[in-house]
Amino acid sequence: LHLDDTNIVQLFWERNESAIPQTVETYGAYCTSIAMNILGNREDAEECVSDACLRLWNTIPPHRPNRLSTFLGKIVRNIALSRYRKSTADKRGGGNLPAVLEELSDVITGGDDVEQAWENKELGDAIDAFLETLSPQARRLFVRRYWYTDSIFHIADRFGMSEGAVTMSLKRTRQKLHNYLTERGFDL
Amino acid sequence: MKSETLYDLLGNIRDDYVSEAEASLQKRKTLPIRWFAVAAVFLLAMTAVFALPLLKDSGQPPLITPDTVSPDGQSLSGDTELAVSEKYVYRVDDTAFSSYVGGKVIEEKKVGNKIREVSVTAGWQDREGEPLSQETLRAEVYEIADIDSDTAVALKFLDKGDAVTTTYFYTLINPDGDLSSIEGYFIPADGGAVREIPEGMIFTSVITDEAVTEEGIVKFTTAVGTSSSPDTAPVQTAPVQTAPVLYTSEAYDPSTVIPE
Repeated sequence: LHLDDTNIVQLFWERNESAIPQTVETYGAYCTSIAMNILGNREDAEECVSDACLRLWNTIPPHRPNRLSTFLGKIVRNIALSRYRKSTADKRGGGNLPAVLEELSDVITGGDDVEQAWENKELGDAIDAFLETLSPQARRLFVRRYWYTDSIFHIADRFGMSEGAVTMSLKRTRQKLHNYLTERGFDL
Repeated sequence: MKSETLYDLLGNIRDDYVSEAEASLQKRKTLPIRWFAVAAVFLLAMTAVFALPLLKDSGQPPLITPDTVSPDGQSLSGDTELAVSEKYVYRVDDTAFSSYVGGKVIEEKKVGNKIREVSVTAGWQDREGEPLSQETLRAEVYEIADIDSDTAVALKFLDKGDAVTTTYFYTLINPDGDLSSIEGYFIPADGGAVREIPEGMIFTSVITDEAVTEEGIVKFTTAVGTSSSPDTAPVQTAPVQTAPVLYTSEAYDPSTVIPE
């Protein structure tokens, strides 16, 4: 039996332990693919999903997310990124993330890291505003690559485009993002 | 900043962008379709035959010029790909304008009063006209100075499409209208943007399209090439010089707006 988001969230609120298997049944594959893209290792990815479910159990309540997929996806992404940081320190793993990070270096200029939370919030808002300016298709490609950490091959397959066309679109969007942020005074 | 910090920040983008990208599974035909180089000769010849009569008076230079095929039609690289181009088309959903054909950009000073806001269905089509993607955009329809709105109107998009901007006014022409009244105002419609082509790739596209002339809607075929690989010396071909004006949303040059 597949429950919708509202019902799954309600199970968490009721502290009903079936909330976790229901979540895994509905979003397990989705979450595993996000973690796999970052870590490149199925075993690590599945551990990430388990950790994410536990964190979800500890987060709901008090939270009541409207869209459980993205709420959970963000948790998985954060956990996988933390694991990636640890694994690179141990000289292991990487999935698609090393290539993605290399591409994102086009956007930054090597300035001081933005440390303050409020500055990160401003930058996050600016990135959201920038994404609003893109065409839906360019935005989807960008989000698939830099949020879902999809490979170029899978993005091209998903949208029926050539890999070259995807690469070119992403390159243009990165350049636009760089210009957009620097014009607004962000020290990247 | 480190790229890892930026990647981390990108994790907090708005939920609707994340779900938009998840919901957009649009399986489409795999492009490009590989042809043989000999087809290029034939298609470039078709370009000369069909496109030249339509464009000889336009005086507009092509914005994208094929430059990767040698004068004898042979490929300049062993890896030449010939591909059927996709085209971007749009149609106003409002029944009053649903039969109108999208044209090129018109100068703002020629745009008159707003008629109403409309919904536009837009998207990419393959060479056979089969839809490859679809999006719904909001737009406003305007009168064009001295032109009956039964013949043509101007369209300004309120939402940015995949290959149309919110910056310019586009013409919408009624193929059943009095086309003689708009002679000299409209460049023949080229049917929309050409999909982005990878940099450094030998690539020749073919587009079959419709043009609006005083005689009505005319079908024509043309070929489009792009930048060659760095070790390939581009050579211009004679038919290329007469190719219809084609543009991409990125490459659009406002200087090519409707002539007086």
